[in-house]
Amino acid sequence: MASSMEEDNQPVAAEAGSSFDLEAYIANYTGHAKVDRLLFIAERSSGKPLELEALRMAHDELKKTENTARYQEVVARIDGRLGSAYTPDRAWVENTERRSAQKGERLESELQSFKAALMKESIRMGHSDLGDWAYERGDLQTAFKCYVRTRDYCTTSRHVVAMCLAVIRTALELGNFVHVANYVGKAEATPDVSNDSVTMAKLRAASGINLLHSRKYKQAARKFCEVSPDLGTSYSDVLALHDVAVYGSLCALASLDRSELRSRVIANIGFREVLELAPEMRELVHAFYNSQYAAALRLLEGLKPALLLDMHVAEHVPALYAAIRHRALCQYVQPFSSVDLAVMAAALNTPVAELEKQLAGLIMDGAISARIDSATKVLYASKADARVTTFQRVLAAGEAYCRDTRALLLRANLVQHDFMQAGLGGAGGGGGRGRKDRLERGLYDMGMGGGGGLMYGMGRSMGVLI
Amino acid sequence: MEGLVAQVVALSNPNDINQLLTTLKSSEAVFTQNYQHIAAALQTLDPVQHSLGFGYFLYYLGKGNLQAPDVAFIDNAARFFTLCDPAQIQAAPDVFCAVAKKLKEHVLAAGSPRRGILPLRCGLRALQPAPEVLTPLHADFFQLCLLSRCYNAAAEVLGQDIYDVSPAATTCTPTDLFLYCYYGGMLAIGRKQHARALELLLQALTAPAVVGNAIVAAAYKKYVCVCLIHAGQLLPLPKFTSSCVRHMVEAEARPYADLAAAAAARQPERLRRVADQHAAVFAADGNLGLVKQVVASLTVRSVQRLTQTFLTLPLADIAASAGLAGAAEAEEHILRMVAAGQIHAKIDGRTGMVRFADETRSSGQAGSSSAAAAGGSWDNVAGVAALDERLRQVLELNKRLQQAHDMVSQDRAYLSKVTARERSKYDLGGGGGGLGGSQGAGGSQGLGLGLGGDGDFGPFAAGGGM
Repeated sequence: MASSMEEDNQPVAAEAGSSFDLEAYIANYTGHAKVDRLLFIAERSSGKPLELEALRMAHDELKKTENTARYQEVVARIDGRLGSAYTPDRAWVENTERRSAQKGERLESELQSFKAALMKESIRMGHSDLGDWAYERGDLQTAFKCYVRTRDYCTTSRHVVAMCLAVIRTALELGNFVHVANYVGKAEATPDVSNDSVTMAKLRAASGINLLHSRKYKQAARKFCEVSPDLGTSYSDVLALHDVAVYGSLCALASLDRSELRSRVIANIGFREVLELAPEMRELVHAFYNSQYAAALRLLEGLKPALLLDMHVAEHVPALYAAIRHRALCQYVQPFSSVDLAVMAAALNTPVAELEKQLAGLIMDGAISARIDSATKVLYASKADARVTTFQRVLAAGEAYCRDTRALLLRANLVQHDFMQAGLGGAGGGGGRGRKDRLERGLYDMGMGGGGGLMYGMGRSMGVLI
Repeated sequence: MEGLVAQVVALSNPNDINQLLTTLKSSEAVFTQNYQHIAAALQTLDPVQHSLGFGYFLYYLGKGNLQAPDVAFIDNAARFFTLCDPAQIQAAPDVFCAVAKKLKEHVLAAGSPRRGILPLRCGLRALQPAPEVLTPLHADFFQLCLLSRCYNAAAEVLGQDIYDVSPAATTCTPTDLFLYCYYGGMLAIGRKQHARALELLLQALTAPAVVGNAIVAAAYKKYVCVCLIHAGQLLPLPKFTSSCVRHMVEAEARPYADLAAAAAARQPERLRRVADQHAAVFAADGNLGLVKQVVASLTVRSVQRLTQTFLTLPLADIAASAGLAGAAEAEEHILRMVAAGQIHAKIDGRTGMVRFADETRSSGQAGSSSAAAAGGSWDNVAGVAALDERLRQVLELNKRLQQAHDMVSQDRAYLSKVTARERSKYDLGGGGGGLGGSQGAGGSQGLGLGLGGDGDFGPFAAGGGM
């Protein structure tokens, strides 16, 4: 599988589909991941020849499983476009369903008997088998529940890890990323797991995907870069090692600074091995690190069609690309005190007007400290005057402090006089019974926001009282 | 009636003033029965020497069925307020305030609110035991200033911070406070002191409240507009804002929330659309002018952002990025902003190129503090003076804080609570230091009672260090 490429790495291959070697690509995956990816590709390339090819392969793959619902869905989507071999096979569906139902019943009754006999290990196995059965059927919710139920019956750390991995796999497919993070944490906390490099790699890859989906690219990059090449094909029902290389380097380029990029990606022996699987990615990372931005950006553009067909990274491509681009601009500008935009535009392979707009955006966001001379198209780095800014900050802080303290003192006085707008009739100095409580509550409220540190202390002590 | 007048004349000296007060309080019947003689009796009294009696006579005169704009009444009251003896009228604040309200009604009915400004300001000063105490007259005075558009007449009162409401001395009610904040905020807006306006409006919003009221709702609407003009975005309400206010403004001020969202997104087109869409609501709230200022301020702000990004920029590009119609409009805006000192720029009329001056030299212009703009480099006398002034304010405020803290520490209700809590702690054997650490502000009284507070005044020190 090491030789399998998801596309030839010539940057000219911009047209999706034509250069995309689906067969080689999908051979990286097994099980649900294979079908899921095929269907995703079919969905994204509807109307193109690639769609039918993907559907055909999904059909063939599903025929080997018990997932009749998915099968019917795919057949409906093929809609007779692939000839008579790909029309609904009712006999197979019925047979499979009957067989599967029988198996389910058998597992169910076995589990009942285990439960009656209070055999802990067997109950765990029973739940786990039932989960596998539901997973095969494509009933992910049930599978998830069954896997989670085994938790109470785990006796050894191996059981815990197995349970966690099963839950993580199911949760990933369900798109339930909260559980992924939970169970990764659980699995990592079990003793002995850190010695098992394959399991660790799986867990890191899973949490990497989770972080990618929650748009925490920096953390995702770190996780992916920690995945060891020992993972091999063992996680092919979730993702291939090639994916780790792609996701990891994309996230790293988008979020890590130069030194971290070096230490985590380029000088990282484990990840270097992973990167070997995706030469185009390795080239990209090196081009970027060596400040050959035009080459890097061209490579990125070339990769785009393939990335858009990847079910995990597709929706993050625009954000990641924008981040990488911004990083390239910032890094390019950093060492100069003045930059000719025309030269920079050539180096970055971007039209000058576009570049100017992007730079302006970055300056406004505070990412670059510079100003653009639009008449001569030159960018001048501006030196921040630390003295002036410090003076201004001090004055602003003083002003804010005075303002907050004044407000605080007035509010304290209001509370002291029980000066509160009450309901009808009771407006104003109606004191009496509730005064004390109100006094404290008021002070407590004030304390929470108090100017300076004072009232905070008071608020807290009041809080203790109430 | 003659007897009463004689008594007033006889007892109007510092020693007998209480006796006079009792007499006047108990002679309501005399006033009502001899209503037609009050005006004549007033002529015999001197507003300086017999202030208390004069006030009572005016009070009953105004209370009767006086035809609304009564010139004689206005004259008498105006004379009385300008000249009255603070020591005497402070004995009967309720009567004094009622007369002031009558005077306000009369000058409003006469259509010349300006005539009430001076008397009310003098009256307000006379009634205040100290300049930092709020009186019910504040709101009326501000209202008259607003109605007569004499914003500067209120400058002195407006600049004075209010720390005390003391309802016992001035018969203030929460409504007076809210109105003071609201009208004061409007005056500050009128004087273009947006920071002060925000402070006042925020005081109305954060005053302790258990029910919503219309003044607070109106204040919030103004607050949103001023925030957008002053800071370019809606600053969130402080944490200690009471929840009922929060709920109310959420329900009441939806168009304003739209406005804030549009302004925060920096989309001039969208902002204009929102302003047009809700124009009726804004007009009904009397905020249409402010909303227009919000729209205009967004343009100013976008151009100001450009000055931080560009050294030179063609007019057409400025128009495009600030959402203006074209180069001509952009030129007009820039001319106006340069004239107002909001930016420093030169326009090259031949090429249509704008050259922005280096902002670092003059970036203090945005700061609202008194001498922040003093050259911007902070190496001159004015800059040091500004810092000095701020430090002095902070120290003064700290003194106040200390006083407030001492007062709370000596509050009987607070002490008894703390004592009870401490005692129960000891009874339960829960360890002595429980409160000591978190007590902070409560420390000194803890020492006084020998209960183990450690008198930690750290927060004060921190505040003073600034």
